[in-house]
Amino acid sequence: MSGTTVTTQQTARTQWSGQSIPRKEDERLVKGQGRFADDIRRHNEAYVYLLRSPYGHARIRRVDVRAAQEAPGVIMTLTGDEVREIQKPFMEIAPPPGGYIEDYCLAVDKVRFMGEPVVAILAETAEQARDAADLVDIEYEPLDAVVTGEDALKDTAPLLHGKVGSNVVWHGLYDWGSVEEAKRQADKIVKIDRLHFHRFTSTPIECNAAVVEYYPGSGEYTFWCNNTMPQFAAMFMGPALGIPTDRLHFVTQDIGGSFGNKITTYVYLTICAILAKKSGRPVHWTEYRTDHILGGSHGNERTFLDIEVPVLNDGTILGLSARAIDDCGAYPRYEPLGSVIWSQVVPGVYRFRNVRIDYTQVVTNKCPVGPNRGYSRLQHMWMLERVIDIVAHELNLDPVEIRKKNYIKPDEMPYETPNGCVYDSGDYPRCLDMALKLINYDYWRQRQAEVRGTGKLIGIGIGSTLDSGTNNFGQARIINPELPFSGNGEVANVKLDLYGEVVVTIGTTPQGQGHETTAAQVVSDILGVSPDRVRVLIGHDNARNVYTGFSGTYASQFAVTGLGAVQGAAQKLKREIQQLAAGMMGSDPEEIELVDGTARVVGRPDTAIPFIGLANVVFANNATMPEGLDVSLNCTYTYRPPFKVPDVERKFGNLTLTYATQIHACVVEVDEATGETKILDYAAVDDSGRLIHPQIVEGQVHGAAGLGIGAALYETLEYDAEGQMLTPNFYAYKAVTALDVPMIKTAAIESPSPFSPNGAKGMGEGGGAPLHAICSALQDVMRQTSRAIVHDSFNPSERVYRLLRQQPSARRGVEVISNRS
Amino acid sequence: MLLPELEYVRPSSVTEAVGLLNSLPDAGLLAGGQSLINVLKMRIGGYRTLIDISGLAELAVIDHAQGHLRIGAGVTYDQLIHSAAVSLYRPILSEVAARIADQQVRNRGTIGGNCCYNDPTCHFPPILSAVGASFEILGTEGRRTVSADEFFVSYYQTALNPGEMLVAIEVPEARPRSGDAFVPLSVGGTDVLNVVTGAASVLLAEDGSIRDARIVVSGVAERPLRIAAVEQALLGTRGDGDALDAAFRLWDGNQLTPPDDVHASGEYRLAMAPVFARRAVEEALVKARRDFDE
Repeated sequence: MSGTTVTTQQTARTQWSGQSIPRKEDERLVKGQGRFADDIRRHNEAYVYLLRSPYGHARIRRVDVRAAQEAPGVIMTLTGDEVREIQKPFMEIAPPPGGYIEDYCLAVDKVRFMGEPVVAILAETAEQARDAADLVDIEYEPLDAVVTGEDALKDTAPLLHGKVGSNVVWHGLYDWGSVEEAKRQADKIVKIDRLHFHRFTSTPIECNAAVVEYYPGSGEYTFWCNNTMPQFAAMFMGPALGIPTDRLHFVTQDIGGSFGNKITTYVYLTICAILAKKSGRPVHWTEYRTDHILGGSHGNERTFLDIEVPVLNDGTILGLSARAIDDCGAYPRYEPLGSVIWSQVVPGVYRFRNVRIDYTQVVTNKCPVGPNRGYSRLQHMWMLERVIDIVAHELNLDPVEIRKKNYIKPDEMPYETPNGCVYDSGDYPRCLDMALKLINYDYWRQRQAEVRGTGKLIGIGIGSTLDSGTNNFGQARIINPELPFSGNGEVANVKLDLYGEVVVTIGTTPQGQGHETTAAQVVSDILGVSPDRVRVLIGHDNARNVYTGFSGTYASQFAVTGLGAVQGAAQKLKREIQQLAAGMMGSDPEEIELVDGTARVVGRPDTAIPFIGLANVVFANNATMPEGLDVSLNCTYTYRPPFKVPDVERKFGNLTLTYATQIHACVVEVDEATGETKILDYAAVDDSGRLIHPQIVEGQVHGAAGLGIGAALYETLEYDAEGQMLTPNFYAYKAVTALDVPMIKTAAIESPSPFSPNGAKGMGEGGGAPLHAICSALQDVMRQTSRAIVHDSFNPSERVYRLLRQQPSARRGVEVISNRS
Repeated sequence: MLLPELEYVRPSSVTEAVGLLNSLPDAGLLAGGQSLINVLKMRIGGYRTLIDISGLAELAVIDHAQGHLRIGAGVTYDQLIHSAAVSLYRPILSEVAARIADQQVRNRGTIGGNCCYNDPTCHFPPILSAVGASFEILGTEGRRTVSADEFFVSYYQTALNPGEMLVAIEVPEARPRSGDAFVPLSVGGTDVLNVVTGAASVLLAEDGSIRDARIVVSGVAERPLRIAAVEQALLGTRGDGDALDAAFRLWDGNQLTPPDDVHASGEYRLAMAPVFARRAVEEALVKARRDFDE
């Protein structure tokens, strides 16, 4: 389909890493033999149905579950009033007053978003649980709703959480360099009134699901589930349930996509835990699509106001100031971490040093948000890319030249950003040149002029983004200095098993990223065995696999943290094997090489001892252990990235370890009469450092591009003024499909990260580049017509139609002020 | 989402189906189920008894006789796509069917179901109106046939009375020097939620002038809308740009109250209606003129 170019700028290849070997997990997945949460069956299971709020905001006057309890097959019901007695409110990450928010697993006293679970019903069958829900009688007193971030801040706004005293979850001023000084030095200041980043989500094919069992003998709960960051969930659930977190046993296996959306399922897992303990039955809960869209996890919606950009006449951007209002829905949950996570990429790919962002996060009567592919950075980088294009538009500068002028230069790498983040490596101008070449930029610039007047308009757009990977969790302290987190890491165990099998265990939760394959590649190179002979036990199972508090799959980090841990553990095992083999053969460990599943003295193939022989000595024949040796052939290594705790006062420090680059370029054709936008050509150039498995990387590039294109043109989560969700199913939420994604031309360069253990960079989120690129292309269309500003990240035909017809006299929402006369 | 508990019967003939429809309480017909099952799952309406007609062979037949295609109401989109008779005598129906959703949906969804659902985004109501289809209805009183203009009554409403079922759709075969076209405005990806659809069928005289035109637009009114004034104005013209300009100046949407929702505003739909109707006419004319090139 697509033509992949991996440039000659490659890092040294080893035998296995760097090659697109067949994925180990594919055989079971394509044969339908994967095991997903809903595939789990336990003896004597019962089924959960959640009755959800039909209102966006209402007081719960009365809940009558008597008829439902009498319905056929019903085992028990659970209401908010009962939950209040059993559960302590979940921990809030925000400090007070935002931290005064009380979040329970079922609505208590009030409902705050349409789709919030109000009553849980447990029955012998899923059908009986569903039918019984129709018999629950709830009296609601509807309340005024607030559905936009800007409205939530008004004095007259209804309050969602009375104890907080406002709808603000968190507020902070980020101020680096001197924007005021930059404004004095500027030739012009470009002012943009408002830019709006819309709400959408990533639509994993598999919705949330869990089978939960309580074992009274040990007080342990087992969660067969698809949560993708289980120890984060445990941190909320243990205190809420009043139990030690080590009683929470998570088991994940195959997961059908998450994109971050499955991190905050702890709320639902808590409902299941309570039901499992009360009923003494294993409980089975599976979301349907409407449940997932109504009450799963949405992406953050963000509005940028009063943007001011000091620029020089040549297009050099000196800085930026703006107000950001982030709408996190009814309960913060993972938030307000997004209120700092955006600052991993403060200047994006650009060199300006003076930035002031006044950031406020608010609650609204909408579904809570959660991490969503490109989480919190894509909103910010979309705004930056809009700023670049709008400045170019207003000052009549070339959108390519203004980018090149302002890009951080390759010879400035590693580059420290104004807030202390260190961009590890990259070559943005080169990636841009490659992307433009892939779309045949010169040809389309010429076509653009030729087609004018035919009813079609051509626009060319660029999206330049970073995928910052491997969080320094110390950034959470910028949100709340009391939080005892910093750094990051992953742990892996690599061992020889009883018969010499190579077994890797790791506590990550892959959802399509191919961890079994890439972990095997790394181990194979170190231990000298084929990846076919490396068994990788993935999935977070804290009774079987090793794990840290950070374990999981999120935030573009496996290639660094996961493979860093695997590499460290495999190297430890290699040293033990060398010691053991040397002892057995009377040689020196340094002389032992590992080849084809054997250890042998360098240059002497006849001396080889197969791994099974080594394992035999340790596990079944240890009286023959060479004198003085103490080896286990069972090696665990915890990878710890080189992070420091950030300076909370200055909001300064390195917040992520690697910064993968994505430069997208696209050509769109807009139908002047209708506003319909069609993508004519699309290119994505990535720099993810050293590639462990180029095909897996390219697959994620395609996936991120497809999701971004969907978000730019089709996908939006909309509510009316009362908080009624208008897009709760696939009829209304127009999730992108393969038919709608154009041919994507991809290319990759490799700038190895000097900071990661293997030169790789985390990738997969993609930074929302298609949103930026498509908006940029539409701006290029407006440049030829109405000169309207593309002010929203969502541009369906109707919006484009209106932008094309914006009258010259209309308020454009942009102003250029000359500093000197 | 789970279905409510329902009675389910599977008749073995159309006559039996009509009998059941008139004897069972609150009964509805289940054909491909591509819309009905979703409505039932949402529990916002529906029936207590489903009469499954998807297995009735007599509804799944496509015949061609005396200048007409007779398409059983139970013919699936996939059958339409692969029917030699449809491809030969009214190819637009295959082309429209091929645009619908994905293969799984096309294997199940039926032309009759699409018409009886009559949602403004449905594919077949506008094109069948444009090609002058008629609808064969069976009830306890016997058979009757109505025109497309009569069949599509309002949102989700058709000329079917309680106890009646649609058994077949009759479509005249395409004549020489004629052309049909279907041009939708999708607000999703490819044919995902067509908020406005233009459909047209034109017939040219031997001198190349327009002898007959049926122009339909859906998505702006409670049912597919024939634009009679524009049709009339085009008769006798050659359908060139000036003629189309003049004819479409007669388009008047002022009396219409189009749907206005999260997918598209009423104002936008209204503005798009003549655009897509005209594009349909233009495309139909291109096809009709092909017969002159041969």
